[in-house]
Amino acid sequence: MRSVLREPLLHFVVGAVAIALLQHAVGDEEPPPEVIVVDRAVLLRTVQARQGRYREGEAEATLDAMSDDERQALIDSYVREEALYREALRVGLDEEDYVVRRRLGQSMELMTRGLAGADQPLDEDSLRERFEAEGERWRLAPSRTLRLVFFAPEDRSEAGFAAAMEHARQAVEETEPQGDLFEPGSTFEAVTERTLASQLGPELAAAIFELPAQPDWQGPLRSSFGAHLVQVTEEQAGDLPAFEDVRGRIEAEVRSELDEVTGDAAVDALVDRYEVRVELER
Amino acid sequence: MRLPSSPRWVVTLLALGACGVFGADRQNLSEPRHTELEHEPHLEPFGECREFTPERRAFFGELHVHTRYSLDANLQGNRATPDDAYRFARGEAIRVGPLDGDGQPTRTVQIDRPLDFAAVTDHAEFMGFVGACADPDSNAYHRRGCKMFRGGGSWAFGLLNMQTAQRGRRLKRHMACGRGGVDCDEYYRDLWIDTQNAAERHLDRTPDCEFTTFVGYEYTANPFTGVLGNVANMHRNVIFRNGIVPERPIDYFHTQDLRVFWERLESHCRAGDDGCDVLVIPHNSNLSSGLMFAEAPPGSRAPYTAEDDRRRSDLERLFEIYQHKGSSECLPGASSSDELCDFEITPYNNLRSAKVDRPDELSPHDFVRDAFGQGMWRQRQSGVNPFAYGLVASTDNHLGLAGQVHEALFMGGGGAGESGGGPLPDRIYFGPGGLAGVWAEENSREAIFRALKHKETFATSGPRIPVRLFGGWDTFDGWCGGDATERARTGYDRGVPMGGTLPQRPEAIAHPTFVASAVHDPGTGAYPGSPLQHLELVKGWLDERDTLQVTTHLLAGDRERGTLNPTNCALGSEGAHALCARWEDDDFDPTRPAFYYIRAIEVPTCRWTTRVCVAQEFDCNSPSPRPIDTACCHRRMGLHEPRCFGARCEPGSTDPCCAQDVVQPDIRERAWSSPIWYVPPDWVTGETQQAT
Repeated sequence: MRSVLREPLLHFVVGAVAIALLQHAVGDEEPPPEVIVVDRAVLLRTVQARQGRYREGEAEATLDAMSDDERQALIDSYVREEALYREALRVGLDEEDYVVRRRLGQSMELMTRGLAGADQPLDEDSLRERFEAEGERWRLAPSRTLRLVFFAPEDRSEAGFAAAMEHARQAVEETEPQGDLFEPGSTFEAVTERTLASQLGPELAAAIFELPAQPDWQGPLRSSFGAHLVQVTEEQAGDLPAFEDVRGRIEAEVRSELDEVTGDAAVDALVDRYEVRVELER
Repeated sequence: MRLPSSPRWVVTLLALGACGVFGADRQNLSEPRHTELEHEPHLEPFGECREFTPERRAFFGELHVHTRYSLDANLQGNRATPDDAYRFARGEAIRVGPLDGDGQPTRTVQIDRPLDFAAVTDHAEFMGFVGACADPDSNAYHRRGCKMFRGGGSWAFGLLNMQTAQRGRRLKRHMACGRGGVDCDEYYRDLWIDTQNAAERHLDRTPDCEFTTFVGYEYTANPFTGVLGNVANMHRNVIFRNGIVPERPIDYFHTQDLRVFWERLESHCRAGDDGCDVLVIPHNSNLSSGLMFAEAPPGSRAPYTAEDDRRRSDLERLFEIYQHKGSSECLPGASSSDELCDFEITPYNNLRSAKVDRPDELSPHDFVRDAFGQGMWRQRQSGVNPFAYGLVASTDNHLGLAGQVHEALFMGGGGAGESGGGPLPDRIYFGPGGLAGVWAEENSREAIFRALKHKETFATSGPRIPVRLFGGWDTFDGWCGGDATERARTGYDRGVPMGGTLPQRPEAIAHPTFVASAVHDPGTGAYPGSPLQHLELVKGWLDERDTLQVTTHLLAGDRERGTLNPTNCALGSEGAHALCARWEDDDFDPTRPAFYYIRAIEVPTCRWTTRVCVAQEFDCNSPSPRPIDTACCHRRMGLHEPRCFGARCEPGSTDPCCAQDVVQPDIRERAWSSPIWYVPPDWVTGETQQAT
């Protein structure tokens, strides 16, 4: 939405308002309607709009690089455009041409939405209220700290897996059982079930999360890798974080929703300024 | 959609004892981009997920899926919204077609396990049209174009192809939208905003960081080409870094010139200082009729300039090597004796042929490996390799089913606009597609996007096989003796990860060494994963005549391993749960540019077509005594005919290999790493290399 702020139309409108205010303030008189003033600002805007050169300094560079002939051609075409535009306004085409009405309306809506989403301070209390109302959604998933010892099957036959399970069973009483290299890793610190599942498969991860924290080795557990002994050294319940710890995240969420909601609200507010009289009697 | 940074809650979390991996280790990795937490007010947080792994973990996602906002998907009865696609990716069940009499979807479907990240990428071009035609209050609604659209039918599917095949003054917008598209514009805006909002809603902003979304769209260019009126696929997915995105997508109606497309993405997004950043991912070069990697843009004779190449390589960091409409890696028999190129090759070279099922002669130039060679050659001309892609795969699913990749769960891709007939949910040549893999520290937008941008990515044909490759001038002795964490530390400290470019060669060292690993996909209880067959390295280089040479090297495992019973899809007892290897390039020539990537291959498993036959109790390989359904088990289907690739098929040929319906009963599922590049010191003539 921030790109709205780069929108040339916005620059144009803001600029126009500023100029109008300035003129009003200093009591400058508008030039008579039959005079078309072509100054540098006008040419820059034209270059920007026609060639899509919105980056800073780009339109300036383009304009400055023009030969006299090119600049004169630009001026001529601008004058022609402006004259026709004024004539169109004079005969009221802007009110009768549906396409023009829609375009203007759309531009206004776009601008309104963009401005509505701009930085506005968020009320601290409402953030806190939201956090409290949502409660459980912010609770961290439980985690475990654990070690694994792996027993690789000879091959992937049922007999191979059974033998690996048997090896593991024999080793489970040892204080430091020795197994085979386990590529995904042999220690996991404060790991969630989801993360463990993505590396070991959901079944093994779920089985590990069923185990209590205790110094003894537990298992064996079977997986598509082979057989595993597990030592769960720590078990962390899913804590509810303090508000301060997730405040920024809540704010980010609220802001992303605001863009959605306040945009609509801002447009509605515009529309609500009007009293509507429906007169359908024939 | 501006997202201010979060305050540092990490410290407190550490105190809670919930965050063991945070801390000193992070400083040890060699890449400067990870040495500190970076915070800029307009960026989303990095380093604030409760699970942060300095050595990086593998995450699997989907970067190419369509919903009802895409004209073609909508026409095929897709009623899923972007919200539904994200819900599906997160593991919720959603409803899909066929539709009942009330237009309601009749089937319920759920992914076998949730994805880590996803981006909905609807075709931008007709979003407004689709929206306006569905709203009875719109001006467009009662116009002929909308009526035809709502009536459905094949003409309407052609609308997309035909409209976005035109160029310049012949390009007409959809006929219902009024002058300048005025009657559809607000719908376009609404659907684009809704696309953004869906991504925002489903991004997990809790510290658990379980699911990441990206705002995206597809730029759908299908220029006509050649005398036959082929429709070349020049499609590209556009993926944004965060919620800061342009007001409107830069679509094909906005510009038909790729150079302008790149320029606009740069000026409308990357050039700003508001945190907008973007990646472009081309796909299906296999259907591009020679245009995807051509020297000049479609319809132009003037080749791309060095500036075009620079802009292109800045934006097009990744390439989608595999998806629903086939593989774009390499053409069998073209550049080497690489048998594994024979993988999910569609027999078409453009979208029109795919639509009307008219086989074409295929060209190796439409495959990305050939482009790697082209790119290295171009690098010497312009100083930039425009094709130094990282690799990802995706589904391109048009039913909104993000990441629905299991061969047993394939319900049709919906991208071609028709089913396969009979019990088959799709054309036999198409498939469920694959997944995008990344190596990242955490599952946040910032972390995943950086990984994508730095090309530390991999592609899989569906199974979640984490493949890893490092290369460098170190010997990496004993690398395979460590576990994933130790290997990664050594890899980053002494070499470059996949997607990177080898640093300058120390004089005393003659050749680079590569270390590679892969772990099998454990799968789930209902859909168990399969073991790995072998791990291999593909090396490509330009020889003295600047011709691309390719060799493949077995790193671990056995190319023949694995037995499959295609009548019931049962596997034998062979295969590995993990593979690891270290490989030195003894034939290294420091004066020639080269690339290296790995493939991890599963033992053969049943392709979806075979699974359909098995489920229907047809045996494709022994027709009797069970009945044969001709729509399912056609005379060639299920037969492995490797000799057929390379067969010369003249029109009217009676060679059975020239029959249109040759598919294999098995599929060798796989993962591809992004390449590591070597550029000779005197090769970079223009600008400096892209930093990796």
